[in-house]
Amino acid sequence: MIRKTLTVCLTIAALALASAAPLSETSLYNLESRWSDQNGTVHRWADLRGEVRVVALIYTHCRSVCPAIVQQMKETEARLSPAERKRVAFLLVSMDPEADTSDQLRHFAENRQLGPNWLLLRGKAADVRELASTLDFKYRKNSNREFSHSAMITLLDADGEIVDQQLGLGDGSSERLRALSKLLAAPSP
Amino acid sequence: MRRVGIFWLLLCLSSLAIESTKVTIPAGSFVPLMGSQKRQALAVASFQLSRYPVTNGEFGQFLRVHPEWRRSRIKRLFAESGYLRDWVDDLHGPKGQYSSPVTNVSWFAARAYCRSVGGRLPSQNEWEWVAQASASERNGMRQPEFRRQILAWYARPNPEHWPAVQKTYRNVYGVHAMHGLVWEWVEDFNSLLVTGESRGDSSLDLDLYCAGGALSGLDPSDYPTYMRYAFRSSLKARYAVPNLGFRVAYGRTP
Amino acid sequence: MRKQFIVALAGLALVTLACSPSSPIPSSPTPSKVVEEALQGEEVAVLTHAPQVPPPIQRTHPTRVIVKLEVREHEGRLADGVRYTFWTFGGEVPGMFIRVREGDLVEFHLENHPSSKMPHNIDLHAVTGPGGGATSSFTAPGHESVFSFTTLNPGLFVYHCATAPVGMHIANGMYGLILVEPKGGLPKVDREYYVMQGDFYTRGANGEGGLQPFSMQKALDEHPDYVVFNGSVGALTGDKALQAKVGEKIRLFVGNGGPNLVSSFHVIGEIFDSVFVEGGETANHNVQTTLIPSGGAAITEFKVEVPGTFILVDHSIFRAFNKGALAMLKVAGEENKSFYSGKQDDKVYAAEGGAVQELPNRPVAQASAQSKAERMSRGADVFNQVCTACHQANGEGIPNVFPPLAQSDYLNQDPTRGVNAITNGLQGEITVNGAKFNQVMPKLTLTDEQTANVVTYVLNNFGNKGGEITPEAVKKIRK
Repeated sequence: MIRKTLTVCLTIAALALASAAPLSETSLYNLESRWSDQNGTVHRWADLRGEVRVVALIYTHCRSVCPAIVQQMKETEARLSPAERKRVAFLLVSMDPEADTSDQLRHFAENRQLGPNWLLLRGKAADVRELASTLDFKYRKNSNREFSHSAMITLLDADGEIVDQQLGLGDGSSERLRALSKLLAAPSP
Repeated sequence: MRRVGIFWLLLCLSSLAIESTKVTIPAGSFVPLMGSQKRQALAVASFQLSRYPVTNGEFGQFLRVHPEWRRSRIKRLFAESGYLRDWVDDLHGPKGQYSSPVTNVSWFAARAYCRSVGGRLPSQNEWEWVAQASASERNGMRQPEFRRQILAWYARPNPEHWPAVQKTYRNVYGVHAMHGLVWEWVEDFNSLLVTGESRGDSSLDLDLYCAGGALSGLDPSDYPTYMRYAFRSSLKARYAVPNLGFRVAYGRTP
Repeated sequence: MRKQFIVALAGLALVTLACSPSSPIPSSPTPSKVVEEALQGEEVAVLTHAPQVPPPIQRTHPTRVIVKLEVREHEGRLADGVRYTFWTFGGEVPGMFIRVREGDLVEFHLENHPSSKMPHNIDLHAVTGPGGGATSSFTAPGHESVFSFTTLNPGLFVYHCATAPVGMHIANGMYGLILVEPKGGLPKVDREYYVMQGDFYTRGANGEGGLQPFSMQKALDEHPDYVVFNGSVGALTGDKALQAKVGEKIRLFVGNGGPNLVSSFHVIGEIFDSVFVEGGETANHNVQTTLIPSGGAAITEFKVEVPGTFILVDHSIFRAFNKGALAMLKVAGEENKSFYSGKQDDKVYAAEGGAVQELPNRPVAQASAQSKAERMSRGADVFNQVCTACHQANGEGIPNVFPPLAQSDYLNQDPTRGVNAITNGLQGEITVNGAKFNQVMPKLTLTDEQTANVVTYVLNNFGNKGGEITPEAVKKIRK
């Protein structure tokens, strides 16, 4: 009984210590904005620590590049081993929070068959601009409600550091997989 | 009763004597150089813009209350190493430059300042709308002499010390230094997909950029504006550039 | 999946090879696009300011070359009394010369000085890639961009800034040359120089002083106020002229930054033995004037055979003499009279026939000199035209041949001897300053006025005792 309690206490303590380790100055998770996901749950960036993350900004009614971006991310996921997949999460942030309501995001996730390790976030317009600026992602809303924007996929390590960034579609999967494997192979802190 | 009346009269008179630091910009529409489909005019709602760019003195006061934005404390995510490089220390700008525009500030820091005074950065369209104005006309870009003046400023090197913001060019709205002093941050500086390779900009490289809607053709004769867009596209949000400052806008976010 | 793809590709390649008909082998050298050699090592490129050129590449293998080029905007001299804000690669116009080898991997660092007002980038015509590097090198003031490229093609290439508006950035001086030496290097020459032409557009007219702003309108109209070599009027003249010695083989790397004008490049008094047209592989020979496109270059080679000052011009000649498209190459050394004799004779030429004839109308007599000063001034002209051939410009004559006029005891003892020699000729032995001379001086066909003037001039110069001779006196002495 005592041993069990001790184990539980120690585990909690260890986890607490791990997450309390200060973020590096350049981590994306220094941003203080709040976002809600496809299920209505609110997230802060600091909560996302602990998993390697593949990130992109899209909008659900995009007909040109965003579908290809999401497809590339899905391909990356498919090529991971089951063990690796447990440690990698995928994040899509909407650049059109007005049109992309929680419901809309949930429909999108269902249609594209995005699993439980996919987070789709929406937030305030100013916060989207801030996130984009941090990633060097360019976008603008055109008068026809479509967006002109970069094609970009970013890889963050478990502490929110930008490890790899792919600009343009290209033949992204192989490069990203290499970067991901390298990241996952490194001993976790 | 009479005393109260006199008091109010004096208050009104004194407020007239002191020029307001905010200027109300009326609504309007204009065809921006870039960023409009089929060269449609874009509408700009009325808003308030600060008369001057933010000064070293004002920024120093902000830093007293917000230590996380000081040079020694700021996180690298929010500003590169040249942030406030010419400041004497954490709280004091370059000597004798209290009323000069603050420069070497990152976009993040500029935004934080704006928030702290109840405002925001102007949008690119808002900024460009006000920049159209010469000393005499709202649409100064029609005046070749005005465009020549701006181009001439671009061709001159930076001065060794920035003059005080009050001693700068004033346009028809009463706003100072939209030209001739420093470049200025806008909220959506990263909204245009110019690559810096200007010769290819008229046909977007679709591989790099998703163009859900195409951008307008460029009017090559409006060189001053073209150069401003080119400058903005060379920036990253954490950059601290020696001739880049900002000013505050107020009102509903466009 | 990847393996299958590669196998399929290989199969396809084999099939293609087997099926393609044999094609004629081109007679010109195969373009060097396939890089076969392996990179070895790393070095930092030596860059130079014009007109100097980095030394020829010695290594026989490609390497990683690190190039660091800084953009600086600053005020400088465009012409005497005329200042201009130049935007430069490396501090001067033209930009610094970059010398690399075919197959090198260049790691290019573009640094934009913090004092710059504008962002800048670079398009190197030697780069095979988007924008020639411009897309990857767009740099805000106080920042640095890095990108790499392999030099696939040899040749002499222009580089320039490609930031909007491109014409303005180029017009302000943002251009230079990059030489990609072919694998075997270039044949050895004695001297190599870097010359680059550019056109400048100022608000004021040519010569108007002060700090002149750039004129977009004139640039659009293609009406430059200045057309110069190496960034300013007179950049390569006088004591800044290019230097060489007789017998040397010279190679000029000549660029044209534009932004607008094409150059008709010519060296007055020289013929190009070879011109590598447009900086490529084709050589033309025995060329007087070669065209250098805007945004282009050429390599000219020639051997200097005689001494003198050779003027480099854009042969659209008003640009050379009125706008500054003029540079100098000073060649020192032994004369070769058979190649170039200098002026051999200066004769009066009458309209008809070979012998001197009476002109039908009496020539209008020139009014006599009114003062000694005027007499001397006119006499100087006569002296320079007539006397210097023998007595030399400094009046010292030639030992044992032509007696000196300088500090001449013969002349100073009796100035009329000079008059006599001119009007009547002189022969027989004479002693001047202790030396004997026994030549024939022919009678000269000068008027009394001219004779009086020239003798007066000689008497009052070259250390002589002074005095004045009048035309009346000459008349008396004339036989």
